[in-house]
Amino acid sequence: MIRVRFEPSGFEVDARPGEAIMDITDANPAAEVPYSCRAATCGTCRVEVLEGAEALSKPDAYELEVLEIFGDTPDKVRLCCQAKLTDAPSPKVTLKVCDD
Amino acid sequence: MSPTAQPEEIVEYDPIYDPFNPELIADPYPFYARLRDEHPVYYNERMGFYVLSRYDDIFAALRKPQIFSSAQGLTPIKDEISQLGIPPTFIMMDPPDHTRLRRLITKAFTPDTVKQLEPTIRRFVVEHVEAMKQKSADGEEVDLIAGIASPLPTMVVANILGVPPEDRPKFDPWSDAITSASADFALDVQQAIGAVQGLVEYFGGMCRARRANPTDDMITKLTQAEVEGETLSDWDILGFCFVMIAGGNDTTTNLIGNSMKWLHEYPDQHRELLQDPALIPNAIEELLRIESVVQGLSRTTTRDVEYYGTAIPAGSKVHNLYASGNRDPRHWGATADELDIHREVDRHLSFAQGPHFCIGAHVARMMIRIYFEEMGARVGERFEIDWNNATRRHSAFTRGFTKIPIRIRA
Repeated sequence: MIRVRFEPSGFEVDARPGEAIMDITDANPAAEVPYSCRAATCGTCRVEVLEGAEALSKPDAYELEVLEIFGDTPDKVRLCCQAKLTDAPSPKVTLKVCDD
Repeated sequence: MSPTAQPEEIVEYDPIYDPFNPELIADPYPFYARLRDEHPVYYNERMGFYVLSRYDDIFAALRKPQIFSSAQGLTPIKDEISQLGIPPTFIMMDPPDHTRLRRLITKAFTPDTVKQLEPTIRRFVVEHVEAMKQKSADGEEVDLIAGIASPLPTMVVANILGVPPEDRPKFDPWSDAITSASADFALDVQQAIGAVQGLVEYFGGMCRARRANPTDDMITKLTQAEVEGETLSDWDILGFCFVMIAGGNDTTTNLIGNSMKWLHEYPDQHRELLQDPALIPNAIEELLRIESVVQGLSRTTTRDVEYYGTAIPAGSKVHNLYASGNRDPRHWGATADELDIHREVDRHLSFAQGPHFCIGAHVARMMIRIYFEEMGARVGERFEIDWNNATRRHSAFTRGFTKIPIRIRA
């Protein structure tokens, strides 16, 4: 299990490798991650990866294109609608909803 | 009326694509097919704008705000922002300004907030469906638009903004006037300006009231929000209200009306949907695809671009025909013009694409899902719609109905 923490809500939950971050936020509204398209286009669910980037799946071309629009780098910012937990050893992933 | 408005003047519409051509407004799809096949990039000389009609071109343009900017407005009309006199809205901005302002209202669209809305929406839909049934049983005429399709999104938008129920009926005339630009744009602008003034007056008062007595609604949150250390002015907040009303109100109304028309054309699929409500979410995506409520919106080029050998200079308005892209057989295959509720609908254009993707898309999806669920459970196949007396909305940029007479059997 991987401990996933969301900021600024401070909500934490244990999740399994393979789980999509958006499935976690859907099941746990207290995580307070906004969303809209769920399809790597709008960037509403952008989160800053504060720790555990290695435990997230690699971004595909669609996600990279969206991150580029916002001037983000994929090792620091991800889309919750695209990122999944991998089985890379990482005790914790912390994601912070982007301010801008 | 504006001194420039001369309704008796005969306008020579561009025969290939002119958003104000009444023939195109009546049935745009043959025009779109010709555009895609013969003029994938087209220049409308009368109004001075370019048109993109193929799925791939529109998809790519919408995802490149650095080249296709929203800052000069969203219609092909030059100077639309100054003509309408609207407050600054984040939908007419580009990243990063757009991102900062859009972020302020995303809190209204988190899973938690949306989940909290569901019981309110369901209660409202049940009450309105039952009221339509009762009226029909009493022998009264029932209009599906006035009975549920229009009041439903009005209630939801008002609920999010914090508008009290008694003031909600004011919304519809405003949103109608703002979004119904038709053949006589100068006249429509006059009506839209009146609507904007009404909106400004009402929400200006609400901003003052919420600053004095905060609640937990969106307007209170906006009065308390800061962007780069500065609070928003009432005028800034009015921009948000404008987006919510113009974007969230009659769009869902039109989606319900269009969906009923398509399901009427494909009764077997309607029956299937009634028998298996699990099909509803995918059917909604297909209904969104087949008849895009917003037919298209424009961007302005920030640099020279080229399509199919045609140069589009920097500073040009480019109109992206979402409804055409959604029917492009190059992307959707030979059945693009047919409804198929089992189709795998990946990334239609009806909510746009890119950073301007409709912020309330999931709320709209939830509204129409609950509408189908409750209509299916409470009415099923026991209704007839008098399509001969249904009235289409006469609009250059949106597609839907203003009246759909329905009779519900007991």
